[in-house]
Parts: sequence; structure tokens; C-alpha cells
Amino acid sequence: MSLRSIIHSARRKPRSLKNQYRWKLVPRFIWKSMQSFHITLLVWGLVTIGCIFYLSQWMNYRQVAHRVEALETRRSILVTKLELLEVEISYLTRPQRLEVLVGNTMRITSPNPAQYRLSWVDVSSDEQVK
Amino acid sequence: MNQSPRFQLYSFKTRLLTVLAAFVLCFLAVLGRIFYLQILKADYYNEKAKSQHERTVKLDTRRGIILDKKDRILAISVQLKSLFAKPSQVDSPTKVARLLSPIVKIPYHKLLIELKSKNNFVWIKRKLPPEQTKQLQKMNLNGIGFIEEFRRFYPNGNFAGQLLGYTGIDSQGLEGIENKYESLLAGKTSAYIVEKEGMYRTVPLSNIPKKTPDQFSLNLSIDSTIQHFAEKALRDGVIKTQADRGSAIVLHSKTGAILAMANYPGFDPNRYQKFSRALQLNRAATAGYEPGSTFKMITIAAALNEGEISPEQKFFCENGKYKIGNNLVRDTSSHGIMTLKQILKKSSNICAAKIGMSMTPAKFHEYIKRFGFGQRPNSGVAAEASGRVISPKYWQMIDHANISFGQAILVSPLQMVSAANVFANGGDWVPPYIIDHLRDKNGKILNEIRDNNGNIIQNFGKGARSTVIEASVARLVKEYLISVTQKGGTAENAAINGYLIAGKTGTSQIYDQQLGRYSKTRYIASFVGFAPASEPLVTVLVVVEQPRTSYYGGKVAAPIFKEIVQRTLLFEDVLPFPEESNSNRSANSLTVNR
Repeated sequence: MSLRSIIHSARRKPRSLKNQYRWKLVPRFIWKSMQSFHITLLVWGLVTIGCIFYLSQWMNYRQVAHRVEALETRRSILVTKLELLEVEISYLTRPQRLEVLVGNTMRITSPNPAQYRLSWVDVSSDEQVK
Repeated sequence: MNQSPRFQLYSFKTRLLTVLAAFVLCFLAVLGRIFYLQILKADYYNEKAKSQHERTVKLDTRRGIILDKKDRILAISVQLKSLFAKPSQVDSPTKVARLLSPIVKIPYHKLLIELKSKNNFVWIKRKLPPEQTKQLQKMNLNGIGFIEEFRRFYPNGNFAGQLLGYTGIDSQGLEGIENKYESLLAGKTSAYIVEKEGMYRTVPLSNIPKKTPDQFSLNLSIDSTIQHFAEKALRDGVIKTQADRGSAIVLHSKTGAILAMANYPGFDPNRYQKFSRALQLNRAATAGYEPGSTFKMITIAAALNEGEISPEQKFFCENGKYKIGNNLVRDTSSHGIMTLKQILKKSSNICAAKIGMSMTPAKFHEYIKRFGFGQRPNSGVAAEASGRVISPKYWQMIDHANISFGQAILVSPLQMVSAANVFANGGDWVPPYIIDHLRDKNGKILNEIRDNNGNIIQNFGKGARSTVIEASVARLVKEYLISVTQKGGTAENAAINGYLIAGKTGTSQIYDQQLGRYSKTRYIASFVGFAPASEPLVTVLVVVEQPRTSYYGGKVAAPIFKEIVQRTLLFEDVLPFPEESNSNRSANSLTVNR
């Protein structure tokens, strides 16, 4: 049975079904199709390809999910390490420590407004000299 | 015995029926009991069974971070390992105790008692330092294991300790910001159910949550550097004056952001158990004190705003002694006729009392309330004090007079600095705040929290201003306050070369409960002011309790104020201007903002 004849037989509306819906012809169409080797081959071929595609996608998803999980674990470990480093930074750069260090090693004391006032006077006196 | 067959049959039937009846009765009794246990008491026994074979395991949550306004870490949870033992699985308790004792620094005999106990699980030491953990892990002892827990760590030690508060062993907030924002910092608690098996194994019945619950990080308005300036200046000042304790608050004048809140003696939240309860209190917000002369600016501003006095008016200060009813009000030195400016400059109690009494008690009380006294400032700081303002119904004449110069009224340092900030803001009261914003787990900045219906539950950051006095009155009082730090004023020690400083000293006697009167030897010295007066950047209050070298606010608190303000202004790039000095300059002079 050729495909053309199947479609023709499916399209043909029997007199008994004249006033009925055409979807009732669907099982008949499937049955007729099943009787055709080519169509069966085509259908099963498509189903197989679909299954293989789904399987490959599923495997890919699993693999990616596994990799994401591993990366997330690695990330959380790195974040923890980073946080510890941040804590260390804030501990080492606390203002009270820096002030002592700067005073002891660089002999720098906190600024005084008088220093700035002096620089203002210097600028004005330079201009006067010029 | 001769018995007929009928009798025998009858007897057999009777016996059979009796036995049957007995069985039926027993069966009914069993049925009744089953009905009682399975139907009537079903819920009770279900709960009991569940409690015996199920256990809820709570997840140890990582608390949110507390940061300062420049994202410097103030409090963070660090992952550490806790050491436990299963005594039934320990091979040789004596050997294990001998090995563990020097590392975990627990006496040998105490460890041995724990390891020989009949409990299935005992903690040996929780939240071990990483070095100790490494040493113990290398030993690989049977029956000894580790559980990961979080420990709250405050990298700056006693830096803003009272403000931040601390957490307990199970990471629950117990004091300060940690306690007040517990729900935000700890997030929602998550747990899963396990079934107890033989051999003390557990099997999870519900899924173990993969992610820890969401929590927020808090960004405070505190600036670590300014906080350091305040703490250092306060510590040096308190030690120098041999005082009992002190507090200092630095507010951003325009926004009301609390840039620093310092208390001395300090408190290290990392080792909170080693400090007494009194040292853990954030006295800058929780303690009440009588503000003394610093309150005079409120009295004068209220009377001026109400039109009861005029700026040109002169007052007779009774040459140092003034009788109100049976009570005598004194000045530290005798003054004659003075202007408003001179009254603030010389800090006359008598004239302040006269000005205060020119208003009705109800009106004066209304102004006191408008300046924020007698109610919590709602700044977000934990355990804020509301202070104590007597209802005007109960004011006697002497109360009215005393309140006018800052006695017989209890205020918190935070209330006082917010009230003084009104003069730096042209008569507007700016609500102080400590939480600048929140960050959710994705780092998104939030300024409010909404419930499921979208209604705002809590706001953070700047609040709404409210007008207390007219701008012209605020400007006038500001001029008077500038004169206080100029030559001849009570706070010459607060003057900084190159900047205009406005402020007021306060020296109040401490009420002695035992004597039932004000002490003649115990004082509170304070200074509140803002700078630069022309364009205020910071408003600062310093309170020193029971200084011993001198007790005047101008000598004890003003130098501390000067030190804090000087360093803060330079740090914030507000440079001194040659033309602007405190020697008889007006508030209209300029400052350079680099």
C-alpha cells in the first residue's frame, strides 16, 4: 500500500461517517500506516533518533550539572579563603595599628591644621616676592 | 457421683459457654484497649514515638557581615572546626587524653572524665583555632571527630565593641547591633529531620538543604578612621583627667549619620566573658545623664523662638546668687547685667533660669520634646535610652529653674548631640542613624525591608527632618555658640586654628542617692559642638564622668572635642583657611573643601 493511497483512504469520508468528526479516522490512519513497511521504518527511525538525542542531552545535562556542582564547591572553598584573607586584611590595616606602625617606622605624626595654614602663608608670600 | 447424661451435657455446655464468654470478654477488653491507644490517644503516642526515633538537625548558619560605611569588616563569621568525642568508640581514653591535653589546653583529668563518660557524644572543645585543628587532624584518633561551626570574629578587637555587641557560642546575637538585628544577620533558621537507628546512626528523612539560609549584611554609618580618632582622643582624655569613664559621639551634621560612637573603658567582643556587664554597655546611647550647661542653648533657643525674649534684651544675673522659693541658685562667678551672647559665653545658671522661667512649663516642655528629649531617637542603636523629662504638671518652681540650666532632666548623649545638631541644620532636627544600608546575599543594596504584601517594615539610612525652631533663631544661637569657643568663653580649649567652632560646655553635679542631694565632689564634664561653624560637617559630643584633675567641661571635655574634630576635618579634606580663626570671626567666613 502506497502512502498516496493511505492518505486518500484517510481523506475519504465514508457515507456512514458523513456527519461525524474526521478525527475518528486517526486510528484508522495509524493502522493503515503500520501496515506500510516504509512508514513504520520512518516512524521508528524518528523515535530512535529522538531517544538517542534525548539520551545524549540528558547525559550532557548530568555531566554539566556535575561540573557545576564541583565548581560551586570549589567556589565556596575559594570564597571562604577569600573571606579569611579579607578578615586578615582588616585586622592588619585597622587604624589603631596603622597609626602606631606609621609613627614607629616612618616617624609620621597626625597632621595639624597649622601645617596647612603655613603653606597658605608661604604661597601668598611667594606671590608678594614675585 | 451419679450424674445423668443430660446433666453432663448441660454442664459441658455451661462450661464451654463460660470459657467462651471469658475469651470474648478478654477479647473485648483487648479491643477496648486497642481502641483507647490507637484512636483516643493516637496523637499523644504518635508524638511520643516521633520524639524517640526522630531528631531535628538544625543547620549552623553563617551570620551576615557587619561592615563600616567604607566596607571595612567590623564583624564576620569564620568557619572553624569543633572537636567532639564518641567515648564508646575511643580505644584508650587515657592515651587519647594524654595526647589531646597539651594541644587543646584542657587539664588531663578533665579530659579523661569526658572520654570515660557514658554519653554517646561529648564536646571536647568548640571552635578550635586552625593550627590546633591541623595538629589534631594529623593524629587521626579513633572516636574523635570534627564538626564545622562558625565563630564570630571582630578583627578590630575592642573597636566600637559596645556598639557592635557580641554573639554567644551558638552564634546567636546577645548584645548590641548583633542582638538588635538578629533576624537580619542570622537569617531564617533551616533544619532537616533524621531518623535514629540502632548503633546511634541517623538517616535523613527529609532533604538536607543544600544552601545555607539567606541573611543580610549590615553597612553601618560608622567610619572606622573617625571611630579611631574618637576612641583614641577619648582614651587619652579620660586617662589624663583620671576620670571613671567617658563617651563620645560624632554625627554627620547634614545627614545625621553616626560616624563614631566611642566609650572608654573599651570592651573586646571576641572575649566578652572576661568583661563585666557594666563595661559591655554602650553608654553613649543607653545611659542617662544630666546635661548641665549644654542644655542652656535649648532654653535660649526655645525662649527666642517663642518670642518671650529678644536678641537685644539684657538680663540681670543677680551677682552670682538667686533665691527661688527656699532654694538658692548659684553661678560659678558673679555676673551683673549680661546679653544673651554673654549668658552663653559665661554660662550663667541664674540668667538661664530666668529665661527658662519666662516660658510657661507646658510651652518649655513642648520645646524640650521637639528637640528630641524624653523619647528614643530611633537611630537603630541597640537599647537606646529615652531619658527622663518630668511632666510639666509636676514641675515646681525650682524644677523649672533647674531644667533651664540642664539639671533635673535626664538625657542620653545621643539625644544631646542630636539636639545640638539642630543649630547646625538651620533649626531642623535631623534623626540620627547607625544603619546606612543592607546587602542581600547577592550584594544588592537595600534601604528598606518589605513584607510579602509589599509594605515597608523597616527603613534604613537618612530619616525625615522636622523643624524645631526658626532658621533665624538657629543662626542667632549659632553665633552665640561660636563666641563660647572664642577668647573669654568657657571653651577656649575647643578652639582650632583655622576653623570656626560652635559649642557649649557643660558641668553637672551627679545626684548622690545616699546623701539625697547633688554631690559636691562628683561631676560630669561635657562639651557639645559642631565644626566648621560656617558649613557644619560634624557635630560632636564628649561626656566625661567623674574627672579628678578638674571638673569643668571646658577643661576636661573640650580638649577631647578639639582633638577629634581637628583630625576628622583634616581627614575629610576640610582644610583650614587663613582668614578663618576663632578669634572674633563670624560664621559667614569661608572654609576650603578640597
